[in-house]
Amino acid sequence: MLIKSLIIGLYAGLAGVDGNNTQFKIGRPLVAGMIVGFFLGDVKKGLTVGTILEMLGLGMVGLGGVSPPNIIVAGILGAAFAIEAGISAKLAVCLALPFAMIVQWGMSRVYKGYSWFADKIDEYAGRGEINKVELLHISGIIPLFIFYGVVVFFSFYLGINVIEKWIKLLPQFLVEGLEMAGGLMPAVGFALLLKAMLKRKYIFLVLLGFTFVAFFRFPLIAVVLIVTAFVMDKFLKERSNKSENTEQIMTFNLNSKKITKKELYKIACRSLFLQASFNYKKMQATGWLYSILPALRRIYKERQNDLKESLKAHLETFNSHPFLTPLILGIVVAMEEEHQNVDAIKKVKTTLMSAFGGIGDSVIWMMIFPICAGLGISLATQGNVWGPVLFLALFNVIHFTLVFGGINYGYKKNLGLLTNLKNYTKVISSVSSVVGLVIVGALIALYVNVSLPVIVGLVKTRSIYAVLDNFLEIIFMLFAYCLFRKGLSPNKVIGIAVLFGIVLKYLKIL
Amino acid sequence: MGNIVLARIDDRLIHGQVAVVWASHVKADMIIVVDDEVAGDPTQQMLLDLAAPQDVETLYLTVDGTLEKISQIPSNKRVLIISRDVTILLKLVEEGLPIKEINIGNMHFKKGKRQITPTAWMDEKDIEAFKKLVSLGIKCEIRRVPSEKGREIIEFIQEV
Repeated sequence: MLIKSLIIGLYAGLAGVDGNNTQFKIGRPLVAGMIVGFFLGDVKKGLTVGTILEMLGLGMVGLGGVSPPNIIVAGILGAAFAIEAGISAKLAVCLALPFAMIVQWGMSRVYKGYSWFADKIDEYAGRGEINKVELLHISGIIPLFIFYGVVVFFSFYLGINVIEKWIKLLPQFLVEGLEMAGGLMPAVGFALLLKAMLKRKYIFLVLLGFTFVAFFRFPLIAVVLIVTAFVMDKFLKERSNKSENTEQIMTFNLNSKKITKKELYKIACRSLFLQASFNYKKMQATGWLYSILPALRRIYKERQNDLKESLKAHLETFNSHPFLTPLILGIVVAMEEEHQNVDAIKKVKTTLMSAFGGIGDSVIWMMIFPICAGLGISLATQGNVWGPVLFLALFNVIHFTLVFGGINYGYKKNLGLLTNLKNYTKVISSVSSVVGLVIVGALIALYVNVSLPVIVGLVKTRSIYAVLDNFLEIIFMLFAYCLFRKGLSPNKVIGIAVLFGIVLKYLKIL
Repeated sequence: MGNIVLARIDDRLIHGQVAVVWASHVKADMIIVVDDEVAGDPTQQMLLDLAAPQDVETLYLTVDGTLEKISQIPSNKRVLIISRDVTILLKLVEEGLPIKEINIGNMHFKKGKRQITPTAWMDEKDIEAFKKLVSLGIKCEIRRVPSEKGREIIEFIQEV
């Protein structure tokens, strides 16, 4: 038991660091289900828990430093509880969720506490002690690792006994109610995602995805390919009809290209740790400086006095999307190399960071991520380990292209890239919003039990209870959607789902 | 006169919290950025346009031109106003712009500003402006995203 807890704790520590920094997404519930399942000897059950929680967490991403319920911890503990205590996946989901909320609360404390890093790094940078700046910033991952590791280790090590002892003493209706609530969690997740993505005129897209899967039994991947091809075709036609207006935006030609590709990639790798000492005081400022330091070192080699000024300038508050930050880094490195003045650099930096922050949150977190995870989920619902693998592969191909391609592109093209960016962003966000909504519809169809034979069967029974029973998930999803529209937080809606399940079972309604 | 559904203070103007959650939460038809610098810079405007939700209009106005422009907007348009600076909003309110509620998003650390809440840094000018706005009966609430519990700014600045 101790060994098992240690392994789970170690994995949780890594997952926590990954979730905030490298973001390969090795800690997402879909992946955690597989990994924890592997270590505890029941991959299938692990995947079942992971799939439910991944659906719940589709729309749960932190926007600009606001931490959502911690779906990473929930996934690991949920899978571990289910397998080790021998309880159902749905019940385990409910038991793991309070931990997600505790860690969510803990993370906001961590970000607050990390202001210490910002102050200390300011101090070191002021004295030009670059090595200390680097060391301190990167050491920010240690408390995070310990925090996740310790929370999960103890929750699992001590929790298992408690669960095994108490679960038998709980009244039947409570256990069944919690199981029902666990089964409703995907509905909460879909509702949250729909709240962010859906507009009235796009409802048909969700219905389209739903119909394809529920009534025609299309595999989700086929649906995605068909829709993507269709939408791309339409867009390309539209674009060739329009005459491109290529407004020239402030560009300049670079003569000196001192920074080698290797150094650029080093900066890109460092940017994977942009948020190692993320804090509420200066957000990603320390990570920005950490990333760009290899370039500054080279550029200011002969001008040690200017270096201090530059360090200070690069410690101004920064907050953008981590996957798009390498593009900005590329541009700024080129500007630094050209010895552009501090104000010009600052202006480019701050303007790009807001815009890219917005694009990244809406396109990457709210569209591309759910698409990749949705495809993975569609495979994993059949207990297939290729589900998490497909998710990781798809997501990271995009991730790496943005990070390593981005820095190169930014460095070479400079601000000239903005003209292209405008066109690309429009196409990408239009295509992915369409595909994203179709996928949500298709996932809902995979999740609920609706098909032609089922409906025909229901019509025959003429029982309102049978109808309610069958459509409970959809009804609850619409209810949750309304609650989110009213501005309720995910935690409250999750709480309502739990109460809902318990009350229904207590009153023996369903 | 456009229907002002929300006025927000945010260092980063249009970004994820605004584009993904607030705009859809208040069902905005239009986002108006009040900022002299951005109003005169087409590149910044283009970038902010990219960050804004697709079917929401955007408008970039100077502080002096705002009242006049907003009064020309039809009243069925739901408008979300964003500015970096509370003193700008105070000026607009004093000019007669009907703002009922101010949402405080991000006010990051800058030199000379001190920490008032875990996520907002202000100087004396900011605090004075908030006190004045509150005394004019305008609700000033710190709330980065709609699902967060809002807290009135006056709780934080009264004791100082």
